[in-house]
Amino acid sequence: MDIVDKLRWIDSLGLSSAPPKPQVGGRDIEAHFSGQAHQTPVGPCFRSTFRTSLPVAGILRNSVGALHFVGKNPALHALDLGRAAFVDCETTGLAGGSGTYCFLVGIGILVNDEVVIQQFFMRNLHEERALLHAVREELSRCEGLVTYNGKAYDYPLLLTRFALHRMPPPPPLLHLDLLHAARRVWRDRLEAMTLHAVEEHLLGIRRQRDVPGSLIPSLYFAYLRSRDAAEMPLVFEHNRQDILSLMHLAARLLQVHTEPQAFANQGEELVALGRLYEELRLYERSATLYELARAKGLDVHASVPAHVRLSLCYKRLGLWQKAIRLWEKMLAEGTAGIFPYVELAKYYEHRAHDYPRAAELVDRALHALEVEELRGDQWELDQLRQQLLHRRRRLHAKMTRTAPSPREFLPGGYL
Amino acid sequence: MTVAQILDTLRQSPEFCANVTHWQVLPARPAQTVDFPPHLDARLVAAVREMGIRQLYSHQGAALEALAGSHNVAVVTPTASGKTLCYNLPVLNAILREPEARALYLFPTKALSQDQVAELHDIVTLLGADIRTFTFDGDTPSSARQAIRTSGHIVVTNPDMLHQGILPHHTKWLRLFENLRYVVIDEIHNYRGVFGSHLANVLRRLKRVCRFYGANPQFICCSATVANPKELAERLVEEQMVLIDNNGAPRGEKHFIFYNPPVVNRELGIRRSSIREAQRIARYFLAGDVQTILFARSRLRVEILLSYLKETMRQLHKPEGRVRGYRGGYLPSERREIERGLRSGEILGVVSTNALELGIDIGQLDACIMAGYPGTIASTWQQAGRAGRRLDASVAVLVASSAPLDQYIVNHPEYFFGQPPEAGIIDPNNLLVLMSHIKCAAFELPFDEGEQFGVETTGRILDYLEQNQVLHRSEGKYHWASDIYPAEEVSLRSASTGNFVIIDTTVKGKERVIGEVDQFSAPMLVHEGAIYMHESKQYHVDTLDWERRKAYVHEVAVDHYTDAEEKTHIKVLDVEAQEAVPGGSKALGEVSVTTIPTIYKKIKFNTHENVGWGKISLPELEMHTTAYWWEITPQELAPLAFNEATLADALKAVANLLANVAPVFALCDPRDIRTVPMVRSPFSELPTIYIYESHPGGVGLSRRLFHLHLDLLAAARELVVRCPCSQGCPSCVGPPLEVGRDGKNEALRLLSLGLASEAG
Repeated sequence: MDIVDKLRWIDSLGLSSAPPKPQVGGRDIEAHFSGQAHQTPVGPCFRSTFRTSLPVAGILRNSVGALHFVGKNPALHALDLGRAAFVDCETTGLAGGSGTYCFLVGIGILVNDEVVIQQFFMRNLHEERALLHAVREELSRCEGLVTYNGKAYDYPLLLTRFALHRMPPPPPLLHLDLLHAARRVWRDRLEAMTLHAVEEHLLGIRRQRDVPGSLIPSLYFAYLRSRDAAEMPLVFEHNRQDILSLMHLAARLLQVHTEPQAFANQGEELVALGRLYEELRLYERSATLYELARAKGLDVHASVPAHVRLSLCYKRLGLWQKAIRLWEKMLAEGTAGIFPYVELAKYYEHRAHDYPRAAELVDRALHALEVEELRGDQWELDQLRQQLLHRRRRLHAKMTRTAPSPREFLPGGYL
Repeated sequence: MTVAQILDTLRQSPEFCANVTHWQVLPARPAQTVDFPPHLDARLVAAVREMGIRQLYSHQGAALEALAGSHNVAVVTPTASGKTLCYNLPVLNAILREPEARALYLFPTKALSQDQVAELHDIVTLLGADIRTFTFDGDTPSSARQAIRTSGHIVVTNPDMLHQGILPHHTKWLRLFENLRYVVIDEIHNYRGVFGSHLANVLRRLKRVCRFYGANPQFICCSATVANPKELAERLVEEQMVLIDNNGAPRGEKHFIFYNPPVVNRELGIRRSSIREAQRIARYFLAGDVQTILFARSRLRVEILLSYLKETMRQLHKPEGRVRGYRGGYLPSERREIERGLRSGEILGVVSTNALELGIDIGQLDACIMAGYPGTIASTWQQAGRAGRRLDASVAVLVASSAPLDQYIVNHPEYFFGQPPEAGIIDPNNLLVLMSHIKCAAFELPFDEGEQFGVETTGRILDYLEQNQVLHRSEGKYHWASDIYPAEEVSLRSASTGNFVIIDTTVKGKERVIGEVDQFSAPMLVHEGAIYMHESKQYHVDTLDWERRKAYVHEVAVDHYTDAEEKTHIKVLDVEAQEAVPGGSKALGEVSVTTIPTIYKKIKFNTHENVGWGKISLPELEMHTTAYWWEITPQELAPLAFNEATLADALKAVANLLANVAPVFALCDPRDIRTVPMVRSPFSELPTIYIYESHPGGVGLSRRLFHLHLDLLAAARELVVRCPCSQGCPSCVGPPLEVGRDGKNEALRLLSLGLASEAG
């Protein structure tokens, strides 16, 4: 039996199925899409340049120092989005690994009020070196990198390609991954964090005739085999739109952070921002955002945690009266479990030194706990009970030691 | 009491000796040592001395010398002979000299990898050097992976992880591959058959990636107990190997006893249970406070034997807790505790599956009892090797079950002790296996035109894959051109990818996968209505989802088993070799095997009564594989005066016998081989017995069996002659229901024909 017959037999087991043969013929990319051969010292690849005006350009150019939202990496705060490259890759698969190619790399940069998108494309797999060379050249001129999920996916894949060609990679650049920044603000609002979901639900962008990302690898393979580039413009346009969306998303993030009243659509977004600033220990800002959120209105699920957070911000800022008012409100409404009892008890014990009042709150908390017990997590409630009992023992010890009521020590006849 | 004293007692027990078919004494041997070679770093020598090692054993010295001479080595020495130093010393030495140097260790299981890393940590701590050793497997947290990739000096992993997790992402492992000095492959006797054929291809890919990064590592292969590992190592690695087999570790006197339990039912050929007999024998050793390990063939048998031994301990007024079980399914911490207890002597007896067969460090015990033949000669030596002191006497007892293979081995000590068993057969060029790995290799790095991957016909395979749109050719290179991740589709532990999983639905909401069968066995084992046996439990197959490759079962306790019948058609595609042999001729070639399951019978345990049947409606399966067959010519057959029916019985009986003895000669699992008798083969129109490999394409087993044709027939005859049954039983020719009333006699007549020239 001939080896090819055997190979056919193996395939007949259904372990791999051959797609239909492509029709060879048709016209290459130059005939279908504006662009030309881009010469590099290691050969040519295809380049297409696209310019369009960008209304949000001004916002992006004012990013320096406004990028708190990107997280705890202070180096990123200095990133100037006006000089950064917005990068998106089209690849031949999602699994990653050394057999996945980035066949189209789009790089968008701002030039005045315009965006210029350079797209580098390999018309055949051997043009990869040239594509990588061109991408490195382009990135060397930029001061940073903005991607969507590029930290986990696009950029490591690109670096793999450089390693495979034993070519030096682009110089190290500050890398802002908007997926993480967007997730912090909108994770409660969006079900999926794909760039498409973000476009549709946040940016209000509707794509006209878009090709689904999952089809892109097979479109490219079909092109490689047939040399017919008729479908490729769809991929180029998809890539451009991704880059434009990246820019709009970055602008939106900046706006939401700088002018939350104007740009955050819902109270929930303001709460998410508040939490972010809490992480950065900017409690004043957080408190303002939570107050704004209250004013905008929050739904039931979001309301209690937002009030809890706001009260804790007040506490950290030493705004005791505001905090007490909130805790008492919670107590009256009975919405936040034993949290307000505990916080008020802490306040009366440590700040006001009003031990009887603190002890009374602890007793009420223990009582409330019994009600809670009927629904909540046993272990967690046990922990709480232990803490409360401990607090109660301590308060009683303090009260016996300091027999007279602390109020009598207050100057000016407090009573 | 000492082992020697207990052996004296046993020797004087007529009851025990009546069942002993063989008693082999392997004499004691003193240590042979050499000095540390001068090229070893002084720090390393100091650290090793601190571990109490003053000198090297001769084989360790020889391995170091060969490696220093830039050779690859295959080290074969028994269990506990200090094999690991053969690779740890050169590897650590290289890293001490050159901190950038890297090494990759491959072990067949995760447990062994962890053991190895613990041992390396000990030496590295003594060295006080910054040498980082990590295991990298499915359990490695992703947060640790980055550090392992860039800073691990020694990465300890398994073939599956290398195949799916490391090679397809080789650019992330750049530091490792650029500086790879040594590749250590331990326990290579595990890499037989399909697994070995796959590993050979994974190593081809590894070498290809190393070449890309300009590295040319040396290979250190280690094996225990097989006598001829050079060929296996050379076939796996495809490099010249220097064989290191001058074992210099000392050994005390060792006794190896073959024990065949007495027959309790002559007609059915049933013997006393090997588990009960193992318990009786263990009692002698446990009573004398001799540390004993017992091996049983399944997890369930381990548990049964363990409960028997606890009973024994109570009778002996010893704490039950001093006997323990050890098998898969125990928690790692539990296992470590048992391992420590064994080393310290706190644990007196341990019952294990083959989990302890591999090189887990439990120290050396005094006695080993195997309840049932472990399946291969290599495993038997490996398990027996668990008993063996450096100075004192030790003993291993093999207790045979009624199974034909056990009976053959226990009655043929000369076979077991005589010729060295082959190290196992692999066929890296099995087309199905090869093609899977060519795909993986193309994913890793594009193929150059004219590049060879194992076979000369690489170019044709690449062209074929290009035509099938898996690869794309561009400027003299074949690139991977598909969005699938090929390594994910290939499992190293089986040839075909379409295994069926068996799902136990006994407890609703707690469905669990209890096993897997390959697609060619599925119709016979998990058709609807089948009783599927798993770890001695019975499961009823409720539904078989052919499309999704799932069988849903629930646990039952019934008094019968099921036996499916299938129609098998064999079409000979190509005859590679044919030679005249007594009775006709033998041939080797490629065949297409078509099977279609027809009906299944319900057969009652013990009585083997047929208590019902059902139809199986499943599609036909076609498999292409290699086979060897024996054709009998009518002229030769004439004097035996068979009629159509008796000839069919005789062929069936001989086919059963061959299926039973072939695994001994091919060192393979009984399921790797199938036999089909045909009164009139459509190919030659002659009475024929086909023996074909059950893995698509075959892995070379038929070729070996073809060459051993006469040995195979002789072994089959021996099995029948030695069997105490009167007219044939499941321990030899098969149940009378299947091979007729006088199957035993018919089989003997046919076998004499096949062995005529020997007899004459």
